[in-house]
Amino acid sequence: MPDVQYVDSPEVQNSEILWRIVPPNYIQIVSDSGTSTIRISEGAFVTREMSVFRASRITKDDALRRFPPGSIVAAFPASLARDLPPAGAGCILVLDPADSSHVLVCDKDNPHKRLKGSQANTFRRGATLV
Amino acid sequence: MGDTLHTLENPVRKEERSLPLYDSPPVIETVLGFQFLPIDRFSLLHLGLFWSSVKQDYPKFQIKPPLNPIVEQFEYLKVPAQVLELDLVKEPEVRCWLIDQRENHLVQIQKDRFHFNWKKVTGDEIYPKYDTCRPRFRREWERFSQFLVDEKLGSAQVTQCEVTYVNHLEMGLGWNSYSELHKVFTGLASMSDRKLLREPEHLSLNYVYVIPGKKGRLHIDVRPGIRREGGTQIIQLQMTARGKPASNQLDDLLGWLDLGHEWIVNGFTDFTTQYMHTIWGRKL
Amino acid sequence: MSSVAYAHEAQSVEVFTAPRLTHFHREVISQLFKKQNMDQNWDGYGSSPPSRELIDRAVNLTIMLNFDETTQGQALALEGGGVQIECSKGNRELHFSLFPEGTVEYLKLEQGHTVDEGPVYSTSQVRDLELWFD
Repeated sequence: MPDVQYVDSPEVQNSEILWRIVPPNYIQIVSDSGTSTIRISEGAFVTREMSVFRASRITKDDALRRFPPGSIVAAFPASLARDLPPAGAGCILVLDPADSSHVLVCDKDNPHKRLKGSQANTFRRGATLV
Repeated sequence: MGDTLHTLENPVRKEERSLPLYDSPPVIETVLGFQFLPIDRFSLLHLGLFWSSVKQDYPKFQIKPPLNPIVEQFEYLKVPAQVLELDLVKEPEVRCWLIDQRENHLVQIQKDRFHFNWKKVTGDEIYPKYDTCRPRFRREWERFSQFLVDEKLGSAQVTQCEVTYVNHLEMGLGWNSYSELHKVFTGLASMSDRKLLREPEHLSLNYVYVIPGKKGRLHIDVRPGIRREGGTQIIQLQMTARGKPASNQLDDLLGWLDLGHEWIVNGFTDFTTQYMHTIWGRKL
Repeated sequence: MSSVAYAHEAQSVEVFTAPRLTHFHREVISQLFKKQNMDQNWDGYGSSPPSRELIDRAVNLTIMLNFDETTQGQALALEGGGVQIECSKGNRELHFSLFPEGTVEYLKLEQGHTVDEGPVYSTSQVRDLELWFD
């Protein structure tokens, strides 16, 4: 994002729910004893400057609009991103100056660095599929 | 089978052909080709020159490593003493792929080989049949031969003729595991009655048959693989007929290709089961 | 070693063959090859499909792994053009992430919890990871 200061944005409160859109590539249907469960890979969160939406600022339909059919929403509280490991992912939340519903989740120590597998797994474990 | 034996040993006139015919054979690529004595003065520049003369038909190209010569021998040779030779290579030897726009057709050229391939690209293509590929091969070979004359490189002295059919037997179409391949290939027995050796992790089959009169050999190679395009798990059944033509005359060269083709089609029918023939829509 | 070998010399259709492929290898490699045909922006985040070279590297890594049919394997694309190979058996998982810039990272999971992670830089390290996994 141009003209962005990669600092944590206090406007995004810890209690706020954030949505990460997960495309079908990362979704598995796991069958066990006649029941099926949706499981997502932590690969859905392995990226630089992870793009998420603020649930309070956008509808689910609008959030999913530009994503492939079959994409689902993985919801997690902002605190999961900010809290230090092992409870959280140790990230900062950078608000998009051009779109108040859009936030980048970035590594606290190096905002442009790709999130580690452990950070991605923290999001995977802490997210609820909506 | 008497008529068939007659058919196999001698080139057959078109109107007499009674080769098996399939609606949807599993063939994914065919190769018709000649090996010839190396054309000494044939260089990289000649590859470029030839390409410029056929570019309208084959606008794309790729450079590949050359293929080694493979000659069907029938005389038993004494094993020569090991000799270490050092060759000074004057210029890199390459094989050039000239590819048509849709990438279904491919001409392969190196200083001692000429091949013409048809292949499926999208998967929807229908195999054009040998009767369509043969005249096209002839046209390309004559074009190449004329080029050699025009560039004062002489004429290619063909040593081996070769026909290859590559068949992809996709998992799920008639078979689902390696223990079910008796449903596909004749000569394999079911493994279901075995106590121990029931589900192989891997297999490969190789058969070699002599074409009567020592006119050449039919090589059959079966191995599992994964097709890169689409990631489909397959068994690749590859059949290659290769041998020495009666002479360097075009009729004899093409006649050998006809013989090779017949051996492959009849061999394919012999080698695979009626169950699979039904799946492939056998008509003749 | 070239990871994609033509099965016949004059053949142009690319077929991966190797002397010994287990069910694990076949499944993962099949899924890796499928990733090559993904669309540009397949994920809605603007990602390109993994490159041919990256997929070849992933195939090479896959065939290094001595896993048999008791190991479940899958391959998926990552945002930004990477690929991830996921191996699971019992309550353990071993994931390898390959990125376009050439780096490879591993992640060890036990009952879904992160056990360890780091860069992959040698064959012997892969063997150690296999020992933990098996």
